[in-house]
Amino acid sequence: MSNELIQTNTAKLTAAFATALVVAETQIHDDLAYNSIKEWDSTAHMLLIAELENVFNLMLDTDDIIDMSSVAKAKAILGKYGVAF
Amino acid sequence: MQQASQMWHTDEVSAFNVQLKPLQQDDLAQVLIWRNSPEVSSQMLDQTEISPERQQSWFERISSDRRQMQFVIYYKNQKVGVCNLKSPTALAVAECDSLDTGFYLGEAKYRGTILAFFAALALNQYAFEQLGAKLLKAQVKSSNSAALRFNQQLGYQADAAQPSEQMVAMTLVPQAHQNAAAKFATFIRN
Repeated sequence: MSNELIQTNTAKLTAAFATALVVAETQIHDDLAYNSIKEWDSTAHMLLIAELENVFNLMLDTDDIIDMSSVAKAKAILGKYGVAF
Repeated sequence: MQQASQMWHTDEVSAFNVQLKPLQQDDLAQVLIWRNSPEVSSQMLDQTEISPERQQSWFERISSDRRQMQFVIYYKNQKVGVCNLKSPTALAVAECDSLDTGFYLGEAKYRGTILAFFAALALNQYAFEQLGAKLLKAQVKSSNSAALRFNQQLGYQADAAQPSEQMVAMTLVPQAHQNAAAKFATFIRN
């Protein structure tokens, strides 16, 4: 896996989070967790899932939607679908 | 006297990726653990520790009470929580236009997740479409901002008149439920 692709995926993930949560990209880091900021509530979570599915062109399993509780977890879950970080 | 082994109602609800099954005697031990956990009991009006004997007595009293339906929520064949529908009047649940709803997820890993919405949507849909309810009512502690937001996402609106400063009474109408269900439909997966 090339570093370039990994950087691209990281940038896409960061942009997807920033778009869905309506926060600055600088706020997106691995430790950012669901419900830890007011912007990442249940509604934003649904928007986030839709954004990630659109950006990476995949459909997440219900378990993975439920389990996506932080940025780090999102990376791990997307990794199962072949998206490298 | 013979002990009741299950609720009087028999409908099983399968919708929004979850199943709702009538509460049975075999569920009581698990439900008691959930109900006495600090995370759940702290959001209840009655926060005292409930003994197995008291729970058994409650179950025997309500299992034939047609003014209420008690369900266990299942996700992928695992028990994850409890929900109920109650008539606020002397009428049976099926005869009452306005029903009170109650709900909690006992399994910590699912609290605050989209699964909570699925379970609540399944309960609300059953009440409106199968029982013919016209209104669903919920009461939430005013300090429980997560539950207030949760109910708003389900389409509930706070009532104009409130019972007390500690509690927020909320009402859900069928159209608002349908709007909420449509919003979540994208995330229903097989």
